[in-house]
Amino acid sequence: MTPHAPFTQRIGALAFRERLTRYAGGWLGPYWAQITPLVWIAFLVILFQLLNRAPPILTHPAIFVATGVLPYLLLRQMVTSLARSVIAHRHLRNIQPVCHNDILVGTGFIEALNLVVSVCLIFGLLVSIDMAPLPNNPAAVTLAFLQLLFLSWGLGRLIAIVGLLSDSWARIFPIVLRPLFWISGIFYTATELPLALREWLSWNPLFHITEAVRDGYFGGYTSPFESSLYPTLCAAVLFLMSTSIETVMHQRNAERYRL
Amino acid sequence: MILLRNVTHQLKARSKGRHLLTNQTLTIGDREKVGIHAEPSAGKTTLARLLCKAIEPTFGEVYHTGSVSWPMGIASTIHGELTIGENVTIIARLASGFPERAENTFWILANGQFNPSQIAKTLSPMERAVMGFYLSLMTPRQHYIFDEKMSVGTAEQQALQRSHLKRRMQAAGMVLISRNKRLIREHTNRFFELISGRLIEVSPSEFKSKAVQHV
Repeated sequence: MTPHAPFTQRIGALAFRERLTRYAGGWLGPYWAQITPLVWIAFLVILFQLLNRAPPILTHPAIFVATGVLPYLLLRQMVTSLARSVIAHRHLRNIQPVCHNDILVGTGFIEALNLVVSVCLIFGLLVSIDMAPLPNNPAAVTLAFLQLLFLSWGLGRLIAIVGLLSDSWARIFPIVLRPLFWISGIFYTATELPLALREWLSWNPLFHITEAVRDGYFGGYTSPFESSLYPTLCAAVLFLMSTSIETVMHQRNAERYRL
Repeated sequence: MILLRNVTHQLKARSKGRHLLTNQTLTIGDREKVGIHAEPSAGKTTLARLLCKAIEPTFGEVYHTGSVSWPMGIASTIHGELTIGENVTIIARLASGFPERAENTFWILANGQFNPSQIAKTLSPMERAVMGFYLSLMTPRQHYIFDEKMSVGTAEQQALQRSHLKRRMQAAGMVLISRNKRLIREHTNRFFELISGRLIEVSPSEFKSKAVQHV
């Protein structure tokens, strides 16, 4: 008799399906994941120049904005994709042993690839046109993006599972996430903030990641945030919350979508 | 073998919390052909999904020893934006440890009825149903779960599917859940009635002669 498909094979198939279906339509399809951050960075650099704002770190505004906006955009992209894919691919759960986790890992894998490509492409582009130096500490930058990956997967997983339970919660989460744009250090650094405000914003794990990216990238900048474990801890808590809610959801047959 | 141990399953709120099953235990042995008769809206589709473990029961456990199919003929796994070939490749990789073999089986069963490069959304509902049926057949299983239908499509396609099924059934068991007693009698030899959350086993003569009264 036929054995079940192994985990890696299922993840490969789900990632392949996600890639084909998400980017279906139009020759630009596969490139939107990279075009979006480029447009955002260009828009924010123009805004910096219009407002005569100089980056707090002695560098070109483009790389300063890129180190801030990339973590934010990649987190949002991961969250949105996971919340959508778990609903869009739900019928595949009829095929044993495909489960929610497989779908989420498959989509997360595609997003991780997008993250790597976007970061390499944008940083590489800015370095090649002399708008940025090479990263001062590439290992620290890589570690910060790895933390971003864990954090965005944990948060995305939680939102995706909650979205299966309640339409209201699924709609509330993007609204709750909107202020992250303003409180994650995209336009400023932690050293510029008054101490009291910095204390408050230090609860935001994405701010820690933005700071860690800049700390690693720019030789002359040292972030006042010292705990590199905080975003990973937040990711673990979010992941555990999502698995607990998922277990209760299965037990109570509370999923709002039919297979 | 499929084993239901003390399974209770509550249907969704829109069914007013009605129980599909209440503390039911049932063993379906290898190669056994089981028929479950259920009235319309009794929860046949949900029961099929429970048996193949696509959903979990509210209480109790469903065990499989060996592989069990997903409910035969489900076409919702087909993505309309993908080509038929892409759909087949993806489902084969999800369903089987030998994906190339599964894919080949699909194309042999389809016998030229489908064009691999055709976009799936251009299929008619019947073509989609037939494709769903062949997808469920592409991997050999120890048990097949049927929800109401044993075959789909034109008379010629149905005859072809039945001949494939007949061969598969020589080495496999099946569970057919249907409101059609004649269909159940034709294909199975162990009979149950699904009544008020209970699976009541009835003898062939009882099953043929009368409807089991609600308890």
